[in-house]
Amino acid sequence: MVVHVMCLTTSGGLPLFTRKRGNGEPLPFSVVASFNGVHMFGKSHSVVLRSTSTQETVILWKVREDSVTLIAAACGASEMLLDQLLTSVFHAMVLAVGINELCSTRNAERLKRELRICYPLVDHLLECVEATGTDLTATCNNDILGLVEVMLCPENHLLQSLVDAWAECMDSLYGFLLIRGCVAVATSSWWQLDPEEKKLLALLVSVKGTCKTCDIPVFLPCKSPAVPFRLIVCGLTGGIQICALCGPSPPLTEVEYVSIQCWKGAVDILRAAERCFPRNFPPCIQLDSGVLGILLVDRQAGKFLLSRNQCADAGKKESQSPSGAHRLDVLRTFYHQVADTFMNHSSDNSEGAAACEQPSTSAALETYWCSEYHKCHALRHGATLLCVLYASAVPIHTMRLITQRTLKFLTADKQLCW
Amino acid sequence: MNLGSIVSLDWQRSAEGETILQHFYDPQTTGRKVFGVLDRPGLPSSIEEVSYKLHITGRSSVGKTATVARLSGIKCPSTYTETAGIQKTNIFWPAKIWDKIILFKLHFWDAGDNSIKRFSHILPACKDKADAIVYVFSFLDNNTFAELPQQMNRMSQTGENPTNIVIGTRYNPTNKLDVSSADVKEFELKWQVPVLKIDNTWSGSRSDSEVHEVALLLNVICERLWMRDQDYLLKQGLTR
Repeated sequence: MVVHVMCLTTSGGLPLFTRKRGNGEPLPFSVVASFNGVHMFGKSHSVVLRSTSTQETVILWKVREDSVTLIAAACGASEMLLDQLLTSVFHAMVLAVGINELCSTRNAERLKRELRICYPLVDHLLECVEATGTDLTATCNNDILGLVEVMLCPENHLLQSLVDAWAECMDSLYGFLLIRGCVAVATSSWWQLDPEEKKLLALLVSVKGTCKTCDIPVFLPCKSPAVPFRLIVCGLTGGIQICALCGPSPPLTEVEYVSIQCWKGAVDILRAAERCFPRNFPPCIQLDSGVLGILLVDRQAGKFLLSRNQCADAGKKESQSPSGAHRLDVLRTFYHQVADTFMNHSSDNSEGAAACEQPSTSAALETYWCSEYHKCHALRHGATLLCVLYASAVPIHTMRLITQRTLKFLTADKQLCW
Repeated sequence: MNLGSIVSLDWQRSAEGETILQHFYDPQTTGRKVFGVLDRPGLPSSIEEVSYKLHITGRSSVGKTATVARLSGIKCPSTYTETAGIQKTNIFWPAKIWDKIILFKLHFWDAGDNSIKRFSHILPACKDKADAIVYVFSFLDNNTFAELPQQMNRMSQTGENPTNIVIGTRYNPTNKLDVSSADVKEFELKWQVPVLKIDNTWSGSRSDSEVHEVALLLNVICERLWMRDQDYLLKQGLTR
């Protein structure tokens, strides 16, 4: 499977960048030019070309701000997913250079140079779509576009007050704590940001690598597309980073000094919280042994939790069940193909985003899949959706009970701060 | 300019050096440990720690970020990525000065060229109170080497009198070097600055050889910083 994204100026058709992920040849220039040409031809006849598909490949066009044309081509991905991808790619471009820079494409060469800083972010977004990655050991392979990954540590209620206090010292409303790339806790204002913004900020920090102190100018695609903030990042210990959106002050040296003061008493709490990875929810919550993995999604808050249910005795059974990475991949596919399509319409309808889809009467509350090797079950409760991957031996009617109970375990505990 | 007259350049290979270096490896990855701001190598507290700020500068895509990553023992991606904003890396390095072990904490301030041009706060933040300026050029591009004097003149206009260090990247005998060694020698003599050589592609498979490949560079950097302090103290003593 391979995903390509191309970006050209709408007025002149000048290529700004092309990125690809997966095994496949890069697209020759003539193909890129034809993709753009056919879209322009339609435009000159007042026809908007949205998408097309061949047997394997789906191609999607998108023009933003009447100045940049984005084209995605991928095999094995749905049109909906590619649409989301192009939205996220455009937001990543705004994040890096700001909306004004993108709207005035008079100096295409300069824009091209400036857009280079968003490549790592765009590549990461492509990996969210390109599921069967070339490198199975990569940690980022099980990511979902537009949703930020969270971690439910038992220490979260302690960390919450520490993050709030630290953000206040930083003179910032928007503070968040990342553990191994997952958001453990954040200030309430940070949660109010657009899901896309939260996703991109968390992603930007995790592609930077840990244990560095950074000061990165960022534009917020929805909240502040023209005026930059400073995203400050401080690697505390191991894979843990504390981050905030700041104005002109405090300077980076002060950020580091104050962070040390604020967090030096909490090293043990941080290390304990990091041990929650990769299970991502506390060991005290024991799930049924038939549960192979869970995916908990809150679309309104724009967050998800992904975990394979690793029990203490899991090592012995590992050979019979799908491997860890594969499990998460099945869950993610289930989410994209069934749960997301079926069950999220009610929330989207108000914005008219789903207008082009079939008119749905009402969103489903439950759905399931059965295959030879495993079963999947999804249950929706309000804005929260829980997808569970089961061993094939688990009977269908029991799935339902276990899913209901699991959802309660994970969302009702106040200490976990879901 | 007599390298190694103060800092013992091959001390890290000695038994004592190896023992101390054990605190800098990560037992899980067998590579070098990365330290967050709350971390410190588990050395005896009797070992003195000194802290310095270094600003790394050079033309875009010359290998500044890769050099810092290499010095800190992190494998950096082989494809080029432009650095966004300021990226600051802290490197702990133990060095033997005369008969004393000193723990150097080197704060490397690295910033992307485009960010510097676009946002006015970035360059001043990097230059402010820097103890050293590390100029980076590429051995495969003579222009980046020829620019050095001009760059050094421009940077030295700040009042804090930082020490200068020059690092040439992509130094690999198998490459056809664009910068001749005679030119490098001449530059070293004229400016009284050592030109260090580094190849940022990852050659060693064993973790400890990685450390020894960059030990010389880190030792020379530490020596330059130490000498600057000594000069400063000496001048203070004279004026008093």
